[in-house]
Amino acid sequence: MQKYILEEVSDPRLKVYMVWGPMLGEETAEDAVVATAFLHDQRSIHFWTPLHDVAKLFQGPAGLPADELAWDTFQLFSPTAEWGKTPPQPVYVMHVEKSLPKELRLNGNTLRGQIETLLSSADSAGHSPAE
Amino acid sequence: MKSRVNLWRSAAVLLSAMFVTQPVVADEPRFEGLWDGAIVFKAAELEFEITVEIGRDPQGELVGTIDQPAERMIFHPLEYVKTDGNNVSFEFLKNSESRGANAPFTFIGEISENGQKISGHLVEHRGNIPFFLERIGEPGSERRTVDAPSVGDLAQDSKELKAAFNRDTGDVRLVILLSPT
Repeated sequence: MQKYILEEVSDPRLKVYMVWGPMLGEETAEDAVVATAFLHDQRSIHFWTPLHDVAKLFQGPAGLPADELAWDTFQLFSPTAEWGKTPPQPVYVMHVEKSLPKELRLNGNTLRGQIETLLSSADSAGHSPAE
Repeated sequence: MKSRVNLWRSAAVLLSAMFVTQPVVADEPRFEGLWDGAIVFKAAELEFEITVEIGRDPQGELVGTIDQPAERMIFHPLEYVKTDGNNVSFEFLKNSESRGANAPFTFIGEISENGQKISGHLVEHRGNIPFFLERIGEPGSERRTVDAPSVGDLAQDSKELKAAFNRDTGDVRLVILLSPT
């Protein structure tokens, strides 16, 4: 993520929210602190949760079935997306080993392309990096 | 975390003191250095960052260490570093769930003509895995370090994430949910 996204896309209009959680069951807050070293950028915010609630919240928007939590997903949202009672629908989702289409399996280059496309469309909609 | 970083830095200083600059024969490739790169299981999908430091001990023999942050492996000693012309091989030992105690992990590579890159493969029992290294400095030089960002606790209703997300309306936002291990 650091190499393919944050080091390649310098646009300040990209924001990344990292949610570290107990996907495997034994992770700790200390593990999350250590893991932040792999994703260090002023545009990123890191959270730790010992619970699965957030992974349930993003399950539906990601298109996952009810018995599959949204850990190991990468969900991209447009500039106009707003979180009301529930998280909004992402415009693009990538995953690792989920029951989603294989072509959406995490690939740094593909995800970067989607981000750049979204940033470009934001340009044409009148949101410029200088704003 | 800070004490861990200090520990690493102290170790770096100690290691650099162990390395002694030796004259090398002209035109021979020079492997001594601090190298950053990755083991590439699948490009852009599954890559593990590595840092390799190669220097010479007081006897003039090549020695080195390898860092693999994803495995929390820092200054892990290389068992040997051998060169033959443009070719280099080095190995470290590590306990492995699939390969047992003190399993050898062997890298075989070739240095580029300009001496700035080593590429090759990690010998794996299920097949060779490509790796690459790029020279970033001399042996003993400071490693790239980063100050760890702060990590906020997320409440059960994820209100902190929601607030940050909505604060940044107008930006392209990426939400990633991952295990830290």
